[in-house]
Amino acid sequence: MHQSDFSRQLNDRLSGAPVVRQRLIKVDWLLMFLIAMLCGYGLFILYSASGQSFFHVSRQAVRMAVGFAGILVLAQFDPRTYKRWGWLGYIAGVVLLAMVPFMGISVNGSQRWIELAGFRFQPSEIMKLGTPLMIAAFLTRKELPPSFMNIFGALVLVAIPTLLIQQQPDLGTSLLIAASGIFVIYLAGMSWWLIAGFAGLAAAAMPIMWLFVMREYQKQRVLTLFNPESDPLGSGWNIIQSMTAIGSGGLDGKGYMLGTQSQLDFLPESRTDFIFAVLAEELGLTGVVILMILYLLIVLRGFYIAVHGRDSFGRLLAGALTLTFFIYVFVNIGMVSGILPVVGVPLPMVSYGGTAMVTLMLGFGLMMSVSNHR
Amino acid sequence: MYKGRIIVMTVMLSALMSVVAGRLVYIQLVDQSMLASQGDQRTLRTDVLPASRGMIVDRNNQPLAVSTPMTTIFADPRKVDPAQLPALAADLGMSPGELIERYQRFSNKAFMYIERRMVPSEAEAVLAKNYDGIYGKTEYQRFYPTGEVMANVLGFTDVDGNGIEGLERSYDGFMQPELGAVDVVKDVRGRVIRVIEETAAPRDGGNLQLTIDTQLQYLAYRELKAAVQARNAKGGSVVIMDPRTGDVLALANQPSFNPNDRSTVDPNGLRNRAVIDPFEPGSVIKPFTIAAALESGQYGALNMVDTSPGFMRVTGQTIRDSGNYGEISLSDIIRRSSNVGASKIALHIGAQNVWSALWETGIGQPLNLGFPAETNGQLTNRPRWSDAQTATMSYGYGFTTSAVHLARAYSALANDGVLPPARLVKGVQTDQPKRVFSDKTARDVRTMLGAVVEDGTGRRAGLTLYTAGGKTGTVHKVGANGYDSDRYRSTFVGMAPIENPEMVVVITIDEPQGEEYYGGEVAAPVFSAILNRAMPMAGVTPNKDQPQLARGE
Repeated sequence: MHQSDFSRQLNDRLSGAPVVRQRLIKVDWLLMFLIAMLCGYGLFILYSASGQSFFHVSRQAVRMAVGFAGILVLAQFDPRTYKRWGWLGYIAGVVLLAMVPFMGISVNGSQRWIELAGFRFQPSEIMKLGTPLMIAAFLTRKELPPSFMNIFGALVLVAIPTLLIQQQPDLGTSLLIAASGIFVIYLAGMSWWLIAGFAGLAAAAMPIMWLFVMREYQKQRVLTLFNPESDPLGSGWNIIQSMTAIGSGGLDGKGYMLGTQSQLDFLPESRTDFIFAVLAEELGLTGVVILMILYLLIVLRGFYIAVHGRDSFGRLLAGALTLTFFIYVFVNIGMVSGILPVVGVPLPMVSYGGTAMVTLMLGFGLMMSVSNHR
Repeated sequence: MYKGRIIVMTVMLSALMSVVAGRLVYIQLVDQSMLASQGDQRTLRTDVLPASRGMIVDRNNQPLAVSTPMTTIFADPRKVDPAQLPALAADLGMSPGELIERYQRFSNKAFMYIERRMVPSEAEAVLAKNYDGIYGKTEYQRFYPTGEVMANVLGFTDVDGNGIEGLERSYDGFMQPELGAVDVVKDVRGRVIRVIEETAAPRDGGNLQLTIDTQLQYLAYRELKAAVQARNAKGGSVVIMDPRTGDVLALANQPSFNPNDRSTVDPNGLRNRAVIDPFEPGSVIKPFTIAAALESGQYGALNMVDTSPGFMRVTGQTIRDSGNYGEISLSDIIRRSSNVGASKIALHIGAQNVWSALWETGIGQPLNLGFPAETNGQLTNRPRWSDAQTATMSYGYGFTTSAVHLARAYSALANDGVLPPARLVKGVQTDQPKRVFSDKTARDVRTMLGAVVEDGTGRRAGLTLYTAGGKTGTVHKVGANGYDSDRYRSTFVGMAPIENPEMVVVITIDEPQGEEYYGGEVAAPVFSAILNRAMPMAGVTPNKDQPQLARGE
């Protein structure tokens, strides 16, 4: 337990303030409950999406257990601990990212993975938390709203991991990490004029990105978005199959484990990035709405925590993490339903896969830390 | 300030989320039926349930054409893994190069045959290896147990099971199976996951029963083939008919072909000559001239006709006999086959009477056997007959008919004057039998036919255990310049036992080579060879006195 926490409670007691019972474990039970619901729903969908594979479901459940343990651990620390030591995560992440081109492992044409001490992981995962932590800590050293120089410094700190990850290449993750950092800057009180200026700059940068930065396969995905039928058996296949799956679900779906698109292997990546289409096909709009409500409640709880944070670091961190979570949901569903290009972003807590989910849950742990210390 | 920023962001993100939500609602509710049907298109398939083409069987239900289920291996080239092709070729005993070359031609198609109609167990062994994009389906292989013996009567089917020749063609609709259909769900690799429902039940095609007796058919074919080969002839036909019913018991033609291996088929072998080839019948017509004479009342069986000096001139044409027979009876006209005698009778009773006798027995009329391209022959009635036309008609020239027509016409004589309808397929509607001669006329003519075999031109048609009768015919074939002197058709039409015939047999040999060419020399022995075996086989009681047996008693 943190020293100042203890002394505050002591002070409360001495000053005759209402006695808050010392809690053994500090947890935001409402958020915990919502996450558990989402995890349960996710396992339920995964069981069907994996073709009734008990193996996949149990592995995923183990990862969730690891995630919950991580939440509980992170929730116990005071946010000031993270403010003080958060930069370590950022630096470690940047170093590992810089190592990827030299010792990374290639999967499907991009180098994202690294093996360290027999443990294989994506350094970009570290940056999903490391970046908002770093930016929030960096900006709250000084008074808010931040000065122009501080904003510039923060933007540089965002740009470093973003560009490194873009090189792998992993456009989706790099944009998400950039977003998580920019959300912090935005919440810190960056002036609206500057925001407008950057928005204009970003719009101007798009053609440049297209011409000089984006890889051929990335461009292809964007083009496919506008006209999936142009290459129905190639890059358009995923999106056509997933739209068909979603569309054929209708209001109440084809029935659990009865989706023809997903169960008969037409839908690619049905366990992972495209699991939303399985849900939509089998449980229909009803199942989709239930999922959306769960996400929405989590986001609302996240904002509540952010607004009620004790200090600006906690507020910025919780707000940015919530917004990032929101963006994950938006990008995944947007991609599966054909309004965003196909970027490899999993559906939070539902897609099969370990690291991304554990990272998200650790993010919830940070939010709970903020929630517990207000 | 901070709270405000959260709210702004929340509003912005909510707007984004609304776009997603709106999109989902649109896809799931508005676009739903279109996308759902697209999904169905990908997974719902209609599979064909195979059904078998009907059999052709003989009068005793012996199979003549049967369909055996075989397994055809086909591919969806888009799903084929080319690396597996050499192994597949090895399994099938094909050349890998050829298979790969074929695959490359079809590589952007959805379907290609790999091997059609394999023995099912062998095909299953290949399919069990689960090559990508390689599938099997049941197809039926038509098999003809009697081989060349009935080939040009039965005809055959094409590779897709449609009858294209013979009875297979004319009764194609009747024997065609109705394929069944079943709606199934298939996965992306084309495997059937779930059967939804059978939308059409498969129904095997109808079985076609013929009047043919396979044993007689074998016998007739064997003897015909032996004779055609021995005489080095161009071809020939044998028809055996049951004179009481008109059922065709055997219908054999030479040359023929092997319907089970049609890689080398001689087009000549395809023709069912007995049914589709018209020819000038010649002297085998004389019995009908005699019958007409008897029916006219102007002649009795014992009347004499003067045929000397063995030839006569009719409107500038000379009609000849083989010798000068002098004054002979009607019976001897038949027995010795006198052209002059037949001509004199015809001129006496008039052309119209002769023509009617022929026409009434079905010569020149449709047979309605149900065989494609049956010939009617050609027997025209004329308003005015010249003497030459009348005379030549009396001994079988100037008109054409077929072997089956002859068998039917003789059946009227065999059947005591009642003409049966000719029938090849059981169960079809036929005309009623019809009396065309009086009982007595038919018996009188039969007695004369018996004399031909007993002691006339048809002695070599004699049977060991049965009485027999018949008439020989030797026709000069028509060539580029009228009748050729060295190309013949040798014919014998006979029946046995002559008192109460069980069978009428027509044998016609086209262009026999060598010293012998008369019907009595070439065709009559075939009659003897066939019926010496066929009559006991049919259970007919021997009716000829046996000197040896008589002594034994």
